[in-house]
Amino acid sequence: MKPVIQYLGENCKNCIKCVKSCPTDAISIINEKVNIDDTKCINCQSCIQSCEQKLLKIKDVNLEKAFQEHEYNIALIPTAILSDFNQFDELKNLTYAIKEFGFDEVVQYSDIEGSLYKQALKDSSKQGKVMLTSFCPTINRLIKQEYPTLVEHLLPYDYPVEIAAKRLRKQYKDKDVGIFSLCECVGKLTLAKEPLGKMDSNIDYALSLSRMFPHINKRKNKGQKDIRINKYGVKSNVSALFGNRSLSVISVEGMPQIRTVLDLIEFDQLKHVQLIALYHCYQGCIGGYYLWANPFEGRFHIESMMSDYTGELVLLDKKDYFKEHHMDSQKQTFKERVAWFHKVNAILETLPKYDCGSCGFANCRHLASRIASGEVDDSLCRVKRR
Amino acid sequence: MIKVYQVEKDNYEDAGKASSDIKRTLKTIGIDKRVLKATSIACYEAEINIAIHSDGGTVTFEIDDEGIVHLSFDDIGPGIEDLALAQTPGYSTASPKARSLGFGAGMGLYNMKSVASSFEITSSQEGTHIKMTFQ
Repeated sequence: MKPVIQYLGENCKNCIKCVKSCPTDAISIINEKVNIDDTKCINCQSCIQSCEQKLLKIKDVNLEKAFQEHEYNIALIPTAILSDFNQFDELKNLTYAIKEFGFDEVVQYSDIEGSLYKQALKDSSKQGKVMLTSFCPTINRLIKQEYPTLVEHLLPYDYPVEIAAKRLRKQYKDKDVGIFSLCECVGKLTLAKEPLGKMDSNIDYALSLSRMFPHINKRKNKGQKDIRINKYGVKSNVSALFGNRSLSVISVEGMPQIRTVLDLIEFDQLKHVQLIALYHCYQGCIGGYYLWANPFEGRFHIESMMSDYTGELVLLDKKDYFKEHHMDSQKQTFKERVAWFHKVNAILETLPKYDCGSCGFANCRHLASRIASGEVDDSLCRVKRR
Repeated sequence: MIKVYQVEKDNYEDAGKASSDIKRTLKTIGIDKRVLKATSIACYEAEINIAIHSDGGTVTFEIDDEGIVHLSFDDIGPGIEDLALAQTPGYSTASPKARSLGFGAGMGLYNMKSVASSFEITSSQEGTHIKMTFQ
């Protein structure tokens, strides 16, 4: 899949802040041009925030054009948006405003999230090993790329937003429906046909919530449209509310902590934990990059409205939600990989191994592998030149 | 490629660092995940054992051209008195308190032996030596 983030413009100052910010070493700068390796990028947005030149941007959907392509347009709204509100009525205003903007229907999916949340608690209780659950595409990609032994620990569920879209497709099978997912975070933008080319998705377009804010703000005080939210769905979005009654169910947020816990599972060192919910963002999905409020107050907001979440759970059939997590197969044979590793190592031994990044690669190993493939030579190494 | 790591006696903060580095190296190669899992678990267990039970030692990691992983754990004593007993599942010298916390289940050597492709152990008062391979 393509990375969400693309490089625009020609004014890269070679500051290498993006290179150093990337948690998966997906970025390199060669000849003053930023390259993002789509086999490594996990769409975490760290680089966008680090770029002072604002040259890294999210790929976007042409909303006006997309709107014309289908006869009936549906907006899926994320549960985490509640953290932006003081009162539940504001969600009704928002729903009204999105409809007024031009969508034929506004659909929430907290009922699906809630059902999967309950399913996760149930399914993890008798496995005899630590199970992982994450609605976070960024973390799921991290696990597939960097923790291959843990893929079998991931509960085999599809994303709630995908399940919602699949159900809508079925419901409107005789209609030309356009399904739009309004996203609270960068990672979720990957779950759609456009703009990033996930062609097996039932979602047609993914766009950031913040793009909708100006349209919503203009219309939000003009009326209300009824909408109901399920409280378990809310819990599944907020790290601190996930599984809070059971000691063997924990939640972990943030890249460093997630790496620590995944490392421990790889060493088979977690003895008492049955289920871990993983969130890339602080406080969970309410820490999403595209939400207006902050997750500090957001947690207060979303929790203080708990009695307003009166929506029912949805009854899900296993075939609705079951989806196994697969890893991409490796192109080289094992022997070729070992030979390649030894070749790169030999070059690495000639480099300073400070991992300073000034060559434009995240570390000396990365540079060594590009020297090994013949793309660049070691004159890029400033330390060596000196 | 051969790498040697020092493991200090009673240094609990750093215990596990050699295993982490070895695990990272194996991932960089893109080794089979079954081998990765077995090596990680056995290596961590053996490294921690040196820090807790011995007077210090080394972890030696090697990957040969065939991709076979060789691990050696060599400490400087005081040795394991009854090797056969130490390899019995459930046998542990850990305190009841440690065991109640989930440590010292007495599965360490037994687990290593069961996940490794080959396993050799010798022990005297001068030290314990474990050799394992994974493929």
